[in-house]
Amino acid sequence: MNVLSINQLSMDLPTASGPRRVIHEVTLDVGEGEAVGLVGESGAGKSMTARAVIRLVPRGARTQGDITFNGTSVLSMGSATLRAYRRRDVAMIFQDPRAAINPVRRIGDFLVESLIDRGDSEASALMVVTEILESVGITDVTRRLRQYPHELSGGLLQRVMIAAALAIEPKLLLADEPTTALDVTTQSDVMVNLDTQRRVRGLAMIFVTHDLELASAVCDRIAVMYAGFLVEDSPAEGLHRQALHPYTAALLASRPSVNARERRLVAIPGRPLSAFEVEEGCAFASRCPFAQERCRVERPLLRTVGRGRVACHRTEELQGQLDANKMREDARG
Amino acid sequence: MVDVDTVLEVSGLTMEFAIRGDARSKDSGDRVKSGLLGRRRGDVVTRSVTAVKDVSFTVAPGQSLAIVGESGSGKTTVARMIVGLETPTQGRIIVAGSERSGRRVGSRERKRRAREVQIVFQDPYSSLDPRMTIAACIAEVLKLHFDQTDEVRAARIEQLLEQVGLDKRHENVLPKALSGGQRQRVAIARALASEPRVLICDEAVASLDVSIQAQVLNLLSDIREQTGVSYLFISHDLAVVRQVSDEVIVMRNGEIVEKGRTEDVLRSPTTLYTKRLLAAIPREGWHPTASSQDEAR
Amino acid sequence: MTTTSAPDKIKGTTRRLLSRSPTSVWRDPVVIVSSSFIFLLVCVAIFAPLIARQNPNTANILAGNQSPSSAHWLGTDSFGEDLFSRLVYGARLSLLGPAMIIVIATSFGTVLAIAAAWFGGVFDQVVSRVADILFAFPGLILAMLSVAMFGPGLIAPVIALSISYTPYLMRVIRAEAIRQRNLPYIAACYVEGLPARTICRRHLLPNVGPLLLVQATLSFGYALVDLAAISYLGLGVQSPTPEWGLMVSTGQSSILAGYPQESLFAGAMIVLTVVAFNLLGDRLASRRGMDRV
Repeated sequence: MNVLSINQLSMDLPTASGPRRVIHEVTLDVGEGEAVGLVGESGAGKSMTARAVIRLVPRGARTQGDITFNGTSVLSMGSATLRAYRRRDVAMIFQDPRAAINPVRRIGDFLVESLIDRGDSEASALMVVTEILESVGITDVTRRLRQYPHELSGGLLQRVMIAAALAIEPKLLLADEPTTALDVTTQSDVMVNLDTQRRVRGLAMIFVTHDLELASAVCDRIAVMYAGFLVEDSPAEGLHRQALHPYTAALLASRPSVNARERRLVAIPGRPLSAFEVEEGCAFASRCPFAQERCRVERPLLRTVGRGRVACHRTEELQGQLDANKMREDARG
Repeated sequence: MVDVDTVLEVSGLTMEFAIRGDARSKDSGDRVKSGLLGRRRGDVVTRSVTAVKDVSFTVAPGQSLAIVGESGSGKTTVARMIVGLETPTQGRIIVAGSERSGRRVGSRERKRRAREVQIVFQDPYSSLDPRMTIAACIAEVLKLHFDQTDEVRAARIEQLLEQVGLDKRHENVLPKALSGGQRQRVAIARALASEPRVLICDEAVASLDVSIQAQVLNLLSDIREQTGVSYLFISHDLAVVRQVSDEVIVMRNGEIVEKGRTEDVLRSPTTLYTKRLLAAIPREGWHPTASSQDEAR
Repeated sequence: MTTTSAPDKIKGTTRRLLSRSPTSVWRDPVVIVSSSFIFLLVCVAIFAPLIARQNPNTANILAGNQSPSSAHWLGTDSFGEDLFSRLVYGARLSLLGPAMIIVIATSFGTVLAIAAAWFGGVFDQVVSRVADILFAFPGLILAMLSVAMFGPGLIAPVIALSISYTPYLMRVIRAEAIRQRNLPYIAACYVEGLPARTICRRHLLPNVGPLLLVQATLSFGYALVDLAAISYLGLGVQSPTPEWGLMVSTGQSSILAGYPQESLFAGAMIVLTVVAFNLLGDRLASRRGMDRV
């Protein structure tokens, strides 16, 4: 059974000019122990989707559709069930660790708090926490436990947050751009730990990021979002050679490579749209190099193609052309 | 004597400053002296931090040099010193043959220097005055440096906006009506308005979406081709650096650890640090590996 | 299945009234009501002779302490002067005084704040410490000292209170000015070669403007109450000049005699005006908080 099942999820947020759509009918499943990368640019709705899973949405947000966790509906949970769910089943890691942790409490107090809450004794909580901190690569744990958040670097603090998430032994991890604010070498280190620990503990994960390359490296599947829509859901492997959706291929192709300089980068014209700016037809049509008349009037629905799902009318026709590497070479001329 | 081969020369650039910190905080290092009673929490100690140490490099006309490094490397401090926002403790900065002294200078000298070096900052959301329209923002620079009639100025504004891929309808809007990528284009247009010899891009694309980043990088290449301006590109992203620069300097903890032609340094790095930086970049077929540093930073 | 994230028990208009809803500031009902009231008050003050039918200083002891009637809409005070006229004419001085205080304090405060924010260093330290010292002085004491030196009336307390209010406004604006100064757009202006005064005038000042407006509006209420207190104590405007604070004081003895109208109506005017300014300032403040660049 799937650990998480998002079914036709839509969300509207209240704004000065009325409710605005940020997520359009997203359907996504996460199996046990599976890591799904939720990738997109600004306005894609990826962060909001992850937050919906833990019901951390802004006041006045209206959601439609459903999210089920191990068969139970998340959106209709009562407050007691919701608290238990957040305390035990799902854990979230945020982008900025300093904003997510209480600055006036020691690291140790913060970490054991949730364990003591669920009934552990202080001694056993401390043991669990020490072991987890070591497993995420923190040395000199005893000293760290007594420190305050401001005494730790960003990378260290993020590891602490990961440890906190792992400590409650959740079944699902939600990571919202956990390494975006870190240096690239620190990111690599932190990801090694996160990835290893996740696999060892058999946790499912939704990894939200704008970095498609990073997601492909640590996730089993990639779900690409654009303007609030889920446009592609494919295995991570082979995405570079064969994407299902033109947006995915273009996104991969537009990233500069450290191995070679392009004469000109493959740049998608226009800018990433927000969900409420999309009218009829395919959300990506206005920027798609392969768009046709049908794309502009008829909205493509998510359908299964090969080992993945895609929302595009022309996937089959464009088979050979959605190769990011090839797109780069063509641009090189 | 004016050296036509270099438009920017930096030598022995150093920046040190004293900071006061709690004796027991994570920042206190071993160089802190103990008082009579030894170090206790609450003691305020002054120690010197070297943000930039003995940095030297040159940039030729029309060339693009990148300074790459992680946080704390000092790369942004170097940029700020060149542009006059910080004062170096030691060292020389020579732009287009004229030396920039370490002292603070009056507005006339500052105005003259504005035609030599300009800068584009990282955050498109706070680098434009939120209360000025785009046209007013660029007009301000033009009025300051050039004696033009209103018509000539208006035409120049239009020309600059076109050069960065915007058009007339963006002229009379406030920054809040524009996206991040568009704002960054405006920032580039404004920087180019004073016709500088060197344009410093301080992580100018780091806050942009990937697809927009590609557009702006292409734009920067085009501009360099069209105007012959030199770039000093500050970035933490080696892939961007590869795309946009001819030469590269790798900085760490305030010092230069490696420098050379970009393709040489990135294809066959000589220092461990550069190798680690390269190894950490996500790309096709990549998997995260722990760096050789044992202690988690 | 539709769910909302939090149970919305408060409905419709009430929610809009209570919430800091992100609609245009001019559509906010609280803003509309309070600013209309203030506008009305200002008109009343300016056109006082046209609105008040009777001379506020015409005494008629025999007609003292009358209840509201058709001849005297709000009754009379202990001297038989028409209360309505006195309130209307009173609006002039009661509004003028605080206005002067706010204008003076804001002007000085802003200039000092921006200079301190821009120059920093010793200048900032000196200005801030002087402000701290002044801040520690209770405004009323300063006003009393001032009256002792220069005699009663409107001017002495206004000067004293202006001095007293400047430090607070200066500090608040300085904090925001420093925040703005550290943003890249100011650095960009600096690198472009703009002279310092131009940057301060053209960029820094307009961007602290909204905060300035909010603080000025909120401080108006305090200034009004402070000035009314001075008049109440008999140190400000003197009898028989109509002024609300003074009227509360002169009407005091009548309360015990069973004629509260003078104190009551004057007090009510003070309260209503202060509430109007506070509500307006509060709404402007929360809107500023929501204003995204």
